[in-house]
Amino acid sequence: MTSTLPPPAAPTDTPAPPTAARRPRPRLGVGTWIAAALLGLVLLVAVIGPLIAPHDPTGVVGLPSRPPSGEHWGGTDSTGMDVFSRTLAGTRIDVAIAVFSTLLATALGIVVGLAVGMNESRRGPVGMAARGLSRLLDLLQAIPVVIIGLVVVSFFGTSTVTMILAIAVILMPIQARLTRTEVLRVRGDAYLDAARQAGQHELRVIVKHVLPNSVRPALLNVSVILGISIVLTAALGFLGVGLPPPTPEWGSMIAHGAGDAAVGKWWSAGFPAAALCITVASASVLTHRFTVNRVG
Amino acid sequence: MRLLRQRPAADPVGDRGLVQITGESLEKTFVVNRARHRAVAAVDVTIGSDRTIGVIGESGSGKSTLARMLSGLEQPDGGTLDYNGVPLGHHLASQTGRRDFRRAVQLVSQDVSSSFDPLRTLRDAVRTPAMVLCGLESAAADQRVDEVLETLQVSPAMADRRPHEVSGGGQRQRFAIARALVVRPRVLLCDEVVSALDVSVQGAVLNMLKDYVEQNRAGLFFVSHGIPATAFLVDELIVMQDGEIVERGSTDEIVDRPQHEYTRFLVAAARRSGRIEVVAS
Repeated sequence: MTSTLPPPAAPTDTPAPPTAARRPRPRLGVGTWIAAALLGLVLLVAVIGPLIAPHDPTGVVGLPSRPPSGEHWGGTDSTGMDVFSRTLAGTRIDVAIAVFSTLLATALGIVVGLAVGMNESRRGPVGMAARGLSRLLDLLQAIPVVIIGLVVVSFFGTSTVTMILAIAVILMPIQARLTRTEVLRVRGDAYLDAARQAGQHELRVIVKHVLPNSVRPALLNVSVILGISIVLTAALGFLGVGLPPPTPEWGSMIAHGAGDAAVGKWWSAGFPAAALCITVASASVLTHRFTVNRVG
Repeated sequence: MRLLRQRPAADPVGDRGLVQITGESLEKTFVVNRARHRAVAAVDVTIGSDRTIGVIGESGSGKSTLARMLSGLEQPDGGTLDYNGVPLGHHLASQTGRRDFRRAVQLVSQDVSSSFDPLRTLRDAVRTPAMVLCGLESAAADQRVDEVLETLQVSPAMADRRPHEVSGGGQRQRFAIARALVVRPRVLLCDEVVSALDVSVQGAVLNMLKDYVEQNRAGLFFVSHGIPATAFLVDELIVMQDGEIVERGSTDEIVDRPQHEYTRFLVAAARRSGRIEVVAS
């Protein structure tokens, strides 16, 4: 054993390699600005909608099935309730259900994705449970989402909380699978072993290193599932398992007014349908704009 | 989470007592696509702060798996693994035992590219063991980090960069070594630490490891493909093939008088490459 290898290299302090030049940030198009303005308007109406509604959104305020007029800007539905006021008031409920169900689905999805991804290749009961949970996520994604919603609402009844839970259950597997995929990529990286060698508890290794390195796709997907949850809320309402009347909710209003639309009284379903389209379309445009620029 | 923030009492000098890890009949099998692959089979090995041991063998011979088992990062499927006479699993089960073991035994991984969290600075990676295992406060840990980096001939200013901002595997490997040395381990396990480096950087890294071992009277378990680099550092050699130890002995014996056919093949290959003369006595 001799020391005849070359002497250590001289101290080095090489400058950081020049980082790749950032791509010039593309200009925001007119469509993006319009979508942002419309979504901003929707969120504003969600906050102050019931306050600025010209009529009581849950009461009979006029003759049934009257067309739009100066007294009733959106006309009245078949029971005499003001369509415009109900559309404004319904914004809060639909947006609230969408936002809370998206947050719940994302939080649960990230936790489940971390748990499954970190444990599914382990031996023993923990690994078996993780693999079972992974197959359950596959199963949940294979079942049509509306059916899951119908089952959850049938079991727990119809209320705002139930709707949030039902939609969160539907959307959670999407976020969980995105997170799991990233965890599978990250979990073999040597810096996790280095963190364990630094004496850190396994839970701390997951929270400090695995989570930050695997959560980005799920966070980027939040805007996508926000749009899906608005449509799902309306879909469950349209199928008659949404919030019961007279609670103003777009899906229920569309279902209730669909029969009138068939005989030419378009306004009962037309105004909530327009509000739904504007919200989902503007959210989709903004989602596309930002995810393409961030990921693409 | 309160428990997780507890730190041991500050002990910058560290325990200088004898440290020994003993593995008997160690076995490890991996299942890949439902096929069982025996990585390590019936291996007996003892490493400690008073020994420098090298392990050589071709890819897939079980060297890295053995090093990971001895570092406590991989659990053996069979056999016993003791740390200072007590089963290693008992040490790793408690926070105090885990930290005592981690402080005494550190592994430097072969994977330089993924050995640092891309979202954190290199200083954070090197400082964390000093804070968690040695109980140093942030300022003292930073000072320790700077000292170790200067020993390894790396400018401390580089530590404030993220991994992708440091060019060259050699620099990153020095930071990986610094992360292990910052706690002043009694036994250093090195898994192919120079394989991905060019020859000039290999020499510098090997000299740094040799200096640490000699100056701190620490033990070394050095895993490598190549005989020259291994023989430069260690007093004993282990030759592995297909998960089993086929030959072991002093470095001079193995290099000068290899007994097993596979060892002779490895030595002959190293001689043909002309590099074994660099380190031969």
